Amino acid sequence: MKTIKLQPGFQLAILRIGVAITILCKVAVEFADLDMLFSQHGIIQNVLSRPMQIRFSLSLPWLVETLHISNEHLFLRGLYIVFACAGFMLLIGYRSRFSAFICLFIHMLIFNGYNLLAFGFDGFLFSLLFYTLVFPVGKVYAADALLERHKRSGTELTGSTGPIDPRELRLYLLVLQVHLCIVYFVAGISKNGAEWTSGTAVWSALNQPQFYTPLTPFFKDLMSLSGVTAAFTWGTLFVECLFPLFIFIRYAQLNRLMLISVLLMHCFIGAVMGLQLFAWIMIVFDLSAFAGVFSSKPSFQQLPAPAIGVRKIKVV
Amino acid sequence: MKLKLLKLLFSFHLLIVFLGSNLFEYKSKFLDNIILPYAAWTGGGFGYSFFSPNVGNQTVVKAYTLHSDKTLRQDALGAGTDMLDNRFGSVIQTFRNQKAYELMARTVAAYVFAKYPDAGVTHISVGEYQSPGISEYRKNKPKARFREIYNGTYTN
Repeated sequence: MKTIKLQPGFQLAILRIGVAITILCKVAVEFADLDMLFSQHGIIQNVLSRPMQIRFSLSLPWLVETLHISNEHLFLRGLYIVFACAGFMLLIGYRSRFSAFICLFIHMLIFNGYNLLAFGFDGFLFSLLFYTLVFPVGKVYAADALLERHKRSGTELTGSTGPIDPRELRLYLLVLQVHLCIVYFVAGISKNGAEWTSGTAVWSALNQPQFYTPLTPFFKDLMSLSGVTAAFTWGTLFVECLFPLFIFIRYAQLNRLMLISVLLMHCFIGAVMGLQLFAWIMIVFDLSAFAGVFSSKPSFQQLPAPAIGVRKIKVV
Repeated sequence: MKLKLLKLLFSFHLLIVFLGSNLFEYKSKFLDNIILPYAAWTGGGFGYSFFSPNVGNQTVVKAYTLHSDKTLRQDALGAGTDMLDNRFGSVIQTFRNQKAYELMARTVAAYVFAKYPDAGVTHISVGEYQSPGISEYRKNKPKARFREIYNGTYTN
């Protein structure tokens, strides 16, 4: 059987492409309601947004006021069209850093201005956009890398134009991994209320009208069976609390099992509870940090650089 | 040198992510002055305590609006029907006391009048959906119950 050889640092491509798809989806689902969501005449007006403004930060209401924008309707549409264009450029990896900067800037303006409207998904998109900006995401499976290779064909690629330095790549992946472990650990530890300890939390979540999907009736029937809700509830706690430990133990099967467990958890959240964008961004985060555990080399992320096949290549 | 600098920067970044993650409750203005602006620029330093300590009941706002053509329209806000409603739900979950319910009802009234400019009067009912117990569900599959906790009537 022919195996597919992935480029070193393919996780950065997962990060870039995953974040870009998220932005395009976000633009698509919010475009029709921009005035209601993010204008001074929408749900959150100045009286609410101003006291929540964080010092030394940029926000959309501040920008609108500073630039004396009178037609907010047109401005918001224009801003979202630029957002979508930058998202598409990021998807194909064309001028990746510039595209990531535009996306981060627009998302930051919205997030800081209307953080009352934000939920978990927005915070993770913000964090991952920051990583997309500071990591060299345009060097793997990107138009930037192709153009660079074409421009410099015949010469050795080094420094900022060559492949990613293995030590730097390991650092980038470690940052993603540690951040993700903090997320799961904090999420697991803080679930210490009666609903979680008694094993009924998943039942309560499934019964909330906001999480109703076509799959809800089936899963409510399933969860009403003896012990099933408790298994799902305590399974969630187990995975979240122990993920940071088990994913770093040098045992490939265990690493893969933990990663598959969290991926399944997010698939459940997306399909059964209807939080597709949140589930998607978490899957992107998981895979960009730990997709290496599926590599044929066991415990990929802990091995020295040559083991992951990162080296300077001479392009002829 | 570059690697050392990157290590230093990312160590600081992860420290802020950890401090801002709500694992510990700190009461330091100094830390707040660092973490909040840093989070507002980088997205690192927000809480990750989803569904905690409990899932809790869902707050939903119902608006009964009388239009100029004498028709009465009922809207449920925060029920998660689309992105706008999901985001609205996020605002609703932020307000969790009697004074805040009043403020929220006014916010919803403003939203209703923005959505329906021809509306004359709207009655806002804020309530929680309480889920049935598992054993109760096994018997006759009841739906979640709506319990009103605040109401108010507003004119355009």
